[in-house]
Amino acid sequence: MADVLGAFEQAVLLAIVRLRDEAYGRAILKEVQARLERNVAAGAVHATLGRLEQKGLLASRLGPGTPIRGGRARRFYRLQPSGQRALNEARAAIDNLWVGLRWPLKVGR
Amino acid sequence: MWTLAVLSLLMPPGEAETVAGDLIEEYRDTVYPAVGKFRADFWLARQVAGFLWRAPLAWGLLVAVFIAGRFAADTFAPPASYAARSFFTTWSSILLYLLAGAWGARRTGRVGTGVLLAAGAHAIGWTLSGAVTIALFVGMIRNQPAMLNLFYATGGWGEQWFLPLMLLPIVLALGAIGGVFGRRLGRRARA
Repeated sequence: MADVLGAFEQAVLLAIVRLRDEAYGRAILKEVQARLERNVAAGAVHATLGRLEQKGLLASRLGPGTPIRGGRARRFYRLQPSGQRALNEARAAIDNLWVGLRWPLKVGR
Repeated sequence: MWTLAVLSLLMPPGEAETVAGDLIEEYRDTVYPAVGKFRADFWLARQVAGFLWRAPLAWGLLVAVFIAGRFAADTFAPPASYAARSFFTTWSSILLYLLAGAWGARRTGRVGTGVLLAAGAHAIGWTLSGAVTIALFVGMIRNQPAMLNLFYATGGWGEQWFLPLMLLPIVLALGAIGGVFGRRLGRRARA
């Protein structure tokens, strides 16, 4: 079994899947904020990206900068096969928990 | 730009460049046009502060474990002599600050990172251990005369609030010494 992913790690990885070739720091931050519907610190996303890359779930490469960034390079992230596996396992684990239950839950008396 | 200057103290140069770029892009493209300069500057400072406290967090937690652990041990299992425990906590803390400094400087190639991480770990560690001390005091120590006497005999609140300030110059020096070693190790690894 691959690494057990936390909810925030899943949000970051899924943002990268959605953004495809445009998955760089700022875009990932905005996508995570939009999906979680709350403000997220750039430091939290950056720390998570670093951790996931260290675990081998992500790979990154540098891309060219733009004038609005003062010419500073962008770091683009890409999901690795192990990252895809980890996401699939996380989803399967959640689906297993819900088997036989109807969503949204209605707690009867 | 101050953003890059601070981030360069917290992460390797290439990483600091890309992160600073992300922040500046968001600042210029979204935040500044939406809320104006004053609030946008505050947003940027808050983002950089987010990196600032995360960098020494793991070291700070270790410092907190040592200090709070020592406090709890002295409270619940007071020894006949504190010499052995003091020896252990003093030297393990020294080692911890040296390692924090070395680890930080090895990543960035800057001695200043070592100083910053040691200071940050010190602040986080003593803040957390202070919270543990307050919780133990309110929940248990103040209601038990023997523990209360021991609490004041071993330094009381003075130890909790003033000792970290007294230790700060030593911590900064240890961070710098660790930083010098860490920078050398980093250079050797990159060579």
